[in-house]
Amino acid sequence: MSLAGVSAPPAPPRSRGGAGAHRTGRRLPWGGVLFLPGALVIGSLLVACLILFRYSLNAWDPVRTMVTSWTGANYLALVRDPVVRRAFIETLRIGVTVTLVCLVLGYPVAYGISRSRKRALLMFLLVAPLLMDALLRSFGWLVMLGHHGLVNVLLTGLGVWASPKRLIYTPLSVIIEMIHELIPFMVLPIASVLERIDPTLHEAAMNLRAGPVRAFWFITLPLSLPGVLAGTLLTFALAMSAFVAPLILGGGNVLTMTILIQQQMLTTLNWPLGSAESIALVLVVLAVLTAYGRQARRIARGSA
Amino acid sequence: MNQRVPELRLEHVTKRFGSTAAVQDVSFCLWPGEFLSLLGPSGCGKTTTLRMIAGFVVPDAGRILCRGQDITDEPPYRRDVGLVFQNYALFPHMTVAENVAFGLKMRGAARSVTRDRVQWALELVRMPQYGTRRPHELSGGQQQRVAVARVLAAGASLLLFDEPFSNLDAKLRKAMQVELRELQQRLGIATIHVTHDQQEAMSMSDRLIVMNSGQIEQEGTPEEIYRHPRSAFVAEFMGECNRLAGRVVGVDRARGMAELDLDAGGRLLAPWSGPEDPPERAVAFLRPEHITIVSSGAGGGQANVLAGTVRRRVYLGPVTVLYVSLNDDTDVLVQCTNSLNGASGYGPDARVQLHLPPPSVRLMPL
Repeated sequence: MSLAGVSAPPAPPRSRGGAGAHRTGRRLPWGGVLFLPGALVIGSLLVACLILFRYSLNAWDPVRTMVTSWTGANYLALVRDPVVRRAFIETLRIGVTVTLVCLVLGYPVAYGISRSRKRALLMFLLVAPLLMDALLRSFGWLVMLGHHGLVNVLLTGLGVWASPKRLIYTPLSVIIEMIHELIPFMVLPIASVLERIDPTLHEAAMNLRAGPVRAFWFITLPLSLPGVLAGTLLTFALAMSAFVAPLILGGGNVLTMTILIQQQMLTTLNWPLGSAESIALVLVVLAVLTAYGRQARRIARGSA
Repeated sequence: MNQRVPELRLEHVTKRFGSTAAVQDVSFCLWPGEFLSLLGPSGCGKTTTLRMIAGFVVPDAGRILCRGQDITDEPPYRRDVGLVFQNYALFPHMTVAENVAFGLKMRGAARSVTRDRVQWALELVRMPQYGTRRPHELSGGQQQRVAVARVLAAGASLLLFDEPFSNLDAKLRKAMQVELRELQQRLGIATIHVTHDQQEAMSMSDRLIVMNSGQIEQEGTPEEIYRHPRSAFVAEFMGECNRLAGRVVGVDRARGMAELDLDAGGRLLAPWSGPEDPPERAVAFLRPEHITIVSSGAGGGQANVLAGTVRRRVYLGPVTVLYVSLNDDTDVLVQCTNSLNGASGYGPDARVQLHLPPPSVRLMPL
C-alpha cells in the first residue's frame, strides 16, 4: 500500500520569522547518488502497480485462468458485485473506527510524552510492540480474547458478564488488534509536534486570562493539528491495508478488501479481478487521504 | 510616598528549587506609575521573582500583594499583570489583531468593545495597519510592539518585561527602549523590567533593584546606586570599576577619612564614615571617569597620586579609555573625555601620574 500524501509531520509555524530560511549553496559532487535508494524503492512500487494495472485489464477463464486481453469487465464487476461493495464498506468502517479510537486514545498519550522528562524511555515503550511481528501479535490476541482467554475469564470472574462472550472472529477483535498495532503511528507524529510547541505560548495564554483548559483549546490544540493530520493519515492508510489481523482474528467472518483480494488471487486464481480490486483499494485510499488532508489543512489554517 | 498604596508589594518572598534558594527573603514595593528594573547577572533570581509575580511560580514563603490584595495563591489567569515575554510568545496561528484580542476574548468582552480596544492598543504601539498580518511576517521590533499591545488591550494594571530587548539588534534596542519608556510614562502604568544589562536598566528606570544570588543587594535610583554602591558586587556590576586593595594605616575620625597603604604602592585617602573602624585590609573602588591624569613623567609621593605606565589606549568616540599599569602590574582604567581638540595624547608606554580624588573613592572591607 502506498503512503503517498503522508510525509514527515509539517514543522509547526515558527514564532519568529526571518531566520533559518537560508541554505548553503554548496552541493555534493555526487549528491544525486543519494536519491538512488529512494528512487529504487518508489520505482519498484510503481512498476508493481503498473503490472497490477495491466493484469486488471486482462480477462479470466476458469480453466485457463488469466487470458491476455484489453477489457474493462473487471472494473465493471467491482461496481456491480455486492460482495465487493460489502468488503469496501467493512474495510472503511474498520479503518475509520481504528483511526478515531487511536486518535482519542493516542492524543493524551502524546501530550503526556511531550511533557515528560523520560521522553526517550516512553517513546521506546511505545514503539516496542512494533518489534513483534503482526502475526505473533494477532495470535496473542487470539489467545487473550478466546472463549477461555484472559478477557473473558476476568470479566465473567468479576461478574461484569454473566457468561463468556464470543470475541474472536468478530470485527471487534480485528479492531482491537489494529488499534494495538497502529497507535504508535498516531502518537509519534502528534508527540513530536507537541514537543516543538513553544511552552511560553501556553503561559502567554494563561497570562491573558485563559485557564488551563481554554489555553489548551485555543493554543495548544490548534498548533498540534499538523501532528494530528499526519497521525490520522498514517493510521488510516495502514488500517485500510492491514491484512494479518483480519486474516487471523477475523477467521473468515470479517471480509475486508485485503482478504477479498487474497481469496481472489490465491483461491479463485482470478488475478485480473484481484488486480482490479487492488487498484481500486489504492485509489479509494488515496482519494480519501487527499480529500481529508485538504480539508484538515483548511481547518487548521482557519482556526483561531 | 508612604500614604499611597503600592501597586505591588512583595513581602519576604522566598523560593527554593531543590536545595538552592533561587529567591531568598525578597521584599520591595512598586509604586503607581513607576518603572522599576530588577537588575542582576543570570541566575540571580530576577526572572524567578518576575514569574512569581505573574503567578507561574508559587513562592515557598512570603506574600505578594497587588493594590493591597493578597494574590500569592491566585493562579496566573486571575491576575491583572501583563507579561511581555523575552521571545514575545505571539500566537503563530492567529493574526496580529486576533493576538491582541485574545485577552478580551477570554474576558468575554463584547465584539464592539473588543474591536475598539484592539484598535486603540495597536495605535498606541503605532501599528494600526498591521492587524491582518501574521506574527511571522513581522520584524522583531514589530513583534515586540504587538506583544505590548496584547497585554495593554487585555487590561493589565501593571506590566512585566522579561529581558524584552535581548532579541533585538543594538540600534533597534535603543529605539524600543525609548519608545516603551515613553508609552509607559504616557499611560502611567507601573512596570517591572527584568534585565542583566545595567545600561538599559539605568536609562529606563525610575528605580533599580540590584539582585545577586537570590537576594536584593541594593535598591535606589540609578544615580544613587551608581554613585554610592553599597557592596563590591554592586560597584562592579554597575559599570566599569577599578579595584585597589591595601592595608588601612590610619583613621582620621574628625575629617571622616581613612588612609590606605596600597599593595600597588602609594597612599590613598578615602572617606570613611562607618561607626566602626575600617578593617585592617580594605579595597578601594573608583570609577574610571573620576580619575584624572595630572602630569606625565615620574615623581609623586603625595597621597592619592599614583604613577603608572600606559599599556593600552582605546578610542571610543566620546571618550578614550587608558589602561594604566601600576608598579605591581595592577591595571587601572582611566576614562578621559575627548574634547573638540581631539583625544588625550597619552599613548602606549607613556609614564603618567594619576590623581584619584578622595571623594570619588569608596572604601569597602576586603
